[in-house]
Amino acid sequence: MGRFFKKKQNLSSNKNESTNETTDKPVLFDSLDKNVETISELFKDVDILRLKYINCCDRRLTCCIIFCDGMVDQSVINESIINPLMLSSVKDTDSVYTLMTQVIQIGGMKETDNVDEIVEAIAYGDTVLFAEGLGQAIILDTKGFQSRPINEPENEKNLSGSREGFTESLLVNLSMIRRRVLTSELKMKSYTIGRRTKTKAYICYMDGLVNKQILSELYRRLDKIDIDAVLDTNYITELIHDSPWSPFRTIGYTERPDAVVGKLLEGRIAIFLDGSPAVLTLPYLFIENFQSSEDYYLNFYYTSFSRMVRIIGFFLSVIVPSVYIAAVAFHHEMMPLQLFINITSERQTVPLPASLEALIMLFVFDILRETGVRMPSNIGQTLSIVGALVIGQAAVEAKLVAAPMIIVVALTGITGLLTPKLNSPIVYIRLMLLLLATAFGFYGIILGVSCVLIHIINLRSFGVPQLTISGKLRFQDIKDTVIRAPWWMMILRPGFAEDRVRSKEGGKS
Amino acid sequence: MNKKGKCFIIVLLMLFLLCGCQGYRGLDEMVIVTGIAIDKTPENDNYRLTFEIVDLTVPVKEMGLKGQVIESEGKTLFDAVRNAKKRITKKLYFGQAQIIIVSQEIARNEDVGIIIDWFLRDVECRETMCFIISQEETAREMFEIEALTHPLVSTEINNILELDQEVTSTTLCVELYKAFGGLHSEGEELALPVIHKAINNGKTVGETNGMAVFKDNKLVGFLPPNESKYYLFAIDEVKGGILTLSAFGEEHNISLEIFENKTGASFDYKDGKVKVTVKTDTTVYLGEVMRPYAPMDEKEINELEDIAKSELKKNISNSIKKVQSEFGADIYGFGNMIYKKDIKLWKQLAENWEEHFRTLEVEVESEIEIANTASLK
Repeated sequence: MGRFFKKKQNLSSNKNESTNETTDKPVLFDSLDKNVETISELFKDVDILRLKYINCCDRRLTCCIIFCDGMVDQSVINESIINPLMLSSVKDTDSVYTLMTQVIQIGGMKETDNVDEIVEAIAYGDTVLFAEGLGQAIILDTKGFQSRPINEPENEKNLSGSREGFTESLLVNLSMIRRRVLTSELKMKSYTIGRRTKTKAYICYMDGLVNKQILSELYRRLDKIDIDAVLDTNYITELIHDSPWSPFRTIGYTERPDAVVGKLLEGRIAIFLDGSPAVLTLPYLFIENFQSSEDYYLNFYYTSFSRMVRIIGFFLSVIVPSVYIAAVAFHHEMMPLQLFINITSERQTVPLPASLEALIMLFVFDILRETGVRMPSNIGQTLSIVGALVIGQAAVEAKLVAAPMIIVVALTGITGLLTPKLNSPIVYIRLMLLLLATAFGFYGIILGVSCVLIHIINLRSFGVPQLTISGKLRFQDIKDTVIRAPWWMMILRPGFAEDRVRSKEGGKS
Repeated sequence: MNKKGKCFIIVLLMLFLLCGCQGYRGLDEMVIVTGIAIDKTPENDNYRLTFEIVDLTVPVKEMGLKGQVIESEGKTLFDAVRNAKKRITKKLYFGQAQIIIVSQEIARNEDVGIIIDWFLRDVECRETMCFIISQEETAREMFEIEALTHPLVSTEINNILELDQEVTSTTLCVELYKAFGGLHSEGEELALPVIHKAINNGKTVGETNGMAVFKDNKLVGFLPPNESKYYLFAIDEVKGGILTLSAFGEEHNISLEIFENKTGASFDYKDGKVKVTVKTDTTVYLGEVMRPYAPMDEKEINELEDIAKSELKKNISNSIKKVQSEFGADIYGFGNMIYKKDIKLWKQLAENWEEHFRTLEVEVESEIEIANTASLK
């Protein structure tokens, strides 16, 4: 099996090399017509491409501007490009620099002779200006496409704090970050991913805080990516994951700009991708699964409690069905007499064995959950009625399912929703523990939990262990884990940051 | 497959196949036993077991909790347990059984160690089951009483016994493992709690009635509640209860509530004679003074303490003397104390410890402190 995969990988990498060799950089000509023809040929059958010839500088020079309809801001083109070109009376017209410096009234412009770059610019909403006799073209920033307005992210709602959420537009997203950090330390490096889509990505970090080794490791992994399209940041997540088969996340994501800035200031790196409102942050520690940006905006007593609730919820969600099965099928003496009698009495009249019942009911709950996510929101009420009444109450009344099982499934389901970032591991670990409990009782649960713990301890995010386990327990290391210490106590950044000191005096006056 | 993979599979197989787990047993495949009564049939000397089981023919949430009784006979206890299966559809489950009641007759004629054996060997039975002697003719009668506070008789009796030590300090709940210890340790005899029937509001109910004294693992007699309390004092098992005494010219009764008690025993070997000293140190609250209201001063309290001390001392030594002379059974574990502290001396005495015990000089010293008078307003 392994050999087979290796072969396939070799094949694909060979192919890539060959395609790279054949693409030579086409260069522009001096002739305007030839240049326009080259571009038109490349954009053949793209009917939104617009060409406009202009005689400028007292008819001494013929120009042509090319852009995609709908992607540009028409008023900018009219007022800042066409108008000045037509009215200008510049005499010296043998260089693009004259046009750039004396004629065109627009902020973002760049000269180039690379056809690939020109094509990309046109596709991204820029306007390209060609002129007769000049071997270069000017890329003019006229992007003007519509994007979704800034809303509160649906999946990460907060009680307090910023209501902003990322949109699909890369530049808008970057502006939300830039606005919050007003020093030159915030670096934003552009990167292009996707052989066919040429999707723009930005890698942001705080210079001086970020660990350079992690940064270079990130670039190394990004350079290795060979994929034709990246439509969402999850593509990148899976491609640069430390342990690709693990259900646990080793790269974080968020739709909240305030959360990203918080992570950047802890020495993390953020990856923005055009077209995706989810921003990746790394390295990602295991405890971040339980953190929320709101934890830092509310009183620390309250948020410490919420953290504990989330962590306990995760354990319950994973372990409750299997503990129930183990107690009911193997360790009857473990329950107090009254509880034992009540459960036994309930189980007298149901047809299925307890573990099969658990499997079926958990599956039914997952069906309900998945339906709830997929269906239109206006019929949500129907679902909750059908789910709660028909499957819950009626099944117990009809003696198809024992009542304690409904309680177990409900508890499992609700606690599972507490930690959305752990959704995928929860489903599998729960199932694995359930099967082990069915076969071996508590012994099986202990084995299963040990396996999961060993796996989590081995997880790394860009070389940083996800569960930072050192021999010594230092209070400084747990200040932002199970509890959230007050801000004046958190004077250090996480261990992987280059500069660990957040504030010297502890911030307390 | 490489070496690592092979090792992994071997370890995995070992983990799962060599763990010796019990099999899956659904809750609908069992009959829950809560208590067991052991009798003998007069005709053929078989054991007759009576099990109290939880009635699950109707759902508990509709009809409430109810008990049912199943009887069976067999040559041995295990035989009788399995024979019960002839009358019911499912196997009996002993994991939640709480009490074992043994009839007087068996306790007098047979070694109790024989009775305990099966319960200790069986996987399901808990060693924390309470081991009780019935003062009635048979043990199974106890399951016919009307329980006042719990629908199951076994739970009722178990709860009565467990709390008795803390509230009245007249009986001690002896768990199976402690009974086993009592049977097999050197220089110590077993004492087990006793229950009997009592009439309450026209109904027959169960009631604790002191302790049963064993000698050579056989029942020899009973200590009624007013004496068993002082037995508990001597073995340091008092956790509560009331001390009553008369003071202020005999006509006024006083109740002292025991808050805390610590008893220590020591021995002295001189001129071929053993002398045991039992020291009790009790903290009590003044609970009740049955006389027309008059505040107590320091002097009266001191006087009261002195009376209580001498009263307690007298009662404990009387109860010890009774056990020495009537039963000659060392239920206090004095022999065991010597065995633990001076093995050489014990080897000399062990052979006829019963004689030594009967003539043992026991000195009791009692200390009482009235910590609180609960002054009236």
